[in-house]
Amino acid sequence: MAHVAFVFIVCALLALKWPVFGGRNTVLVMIGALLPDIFKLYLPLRLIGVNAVDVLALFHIPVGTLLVCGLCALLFEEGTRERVFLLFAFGMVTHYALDALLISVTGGLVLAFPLSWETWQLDLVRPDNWLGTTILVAGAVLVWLVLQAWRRTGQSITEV
Amino acid sequence: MRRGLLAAILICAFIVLAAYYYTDVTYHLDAPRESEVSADYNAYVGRNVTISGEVISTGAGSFALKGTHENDTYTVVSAAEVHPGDDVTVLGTLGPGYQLHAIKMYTSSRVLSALVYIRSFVALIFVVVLFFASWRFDWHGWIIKPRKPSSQEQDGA
Repeated sequence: MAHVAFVFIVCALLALKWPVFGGRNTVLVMIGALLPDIFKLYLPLRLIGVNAVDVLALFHIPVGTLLVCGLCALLFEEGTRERVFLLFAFGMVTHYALDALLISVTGGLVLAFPLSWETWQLDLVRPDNWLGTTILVAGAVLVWLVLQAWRRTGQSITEV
Repeated sequence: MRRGLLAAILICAFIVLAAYYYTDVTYHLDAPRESEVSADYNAYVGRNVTISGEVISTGAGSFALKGTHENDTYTVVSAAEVHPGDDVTVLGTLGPGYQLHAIKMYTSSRVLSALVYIRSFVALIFVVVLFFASWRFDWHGWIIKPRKPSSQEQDGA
């Protein structure tokens, strides 16, 4: 949820200068931000006794997520695929930026695989932290309300 | 045709990288995990390992941790306050007899861990609804298209 709220805020701000981040494209960036978490399919699999952590790990590694971004972009119309891919990839970058802040005991993010197995983590925020998520969601709602009010004002001015 | 070829290349690249990760990850871990420890316990005695699991009982200066994957029970030597049912990940030095001297630990209550997954699921539903509000899947051409053309396309740009 924090990833989605963060993307909404970032895209809303970027769309003020670059409209490509706004409208229906915002949800593409949100999807890009959720793609690394396909990895979490290991959780329901664990319930049926399958340990798929290492099998699915590549989804939560940038090079793997980029390949998935490429595959997903191929589902879109020709001529829009490059832009869709870049929007997915931007969402992916926001995901890893937020995840890098989390506390990890197991090592952290393998950001440079397959070039390096080095792990990175800033160890600042607990994964089950509610305050950070609540602030981001509240911020997203606030940004949405401000945008709605701004659009309404803009429209009434145009109409006059 | 070109689209199918590109998809096949991307899928093959993913499978190759996933296989490389799966086969080699064990050799690159700073601290081996429960699955590696269970396979050859004595080889890891005296080394730092990472064990995740659920607290099943607590005592003075230690608690019992049931591993998530192999269901082995470890006695974790730590003064940290934990409660039965908590999800714990411990980085510690493995001793004989399934004893683990904690160096670094991450604890989360079962309720908080479950709520993290619930809020993720809610976010997923939200994004799916938002996506299909502005995009549609054309089954005929296996293509995702915008529901409404953009203002630029309407203008013929």
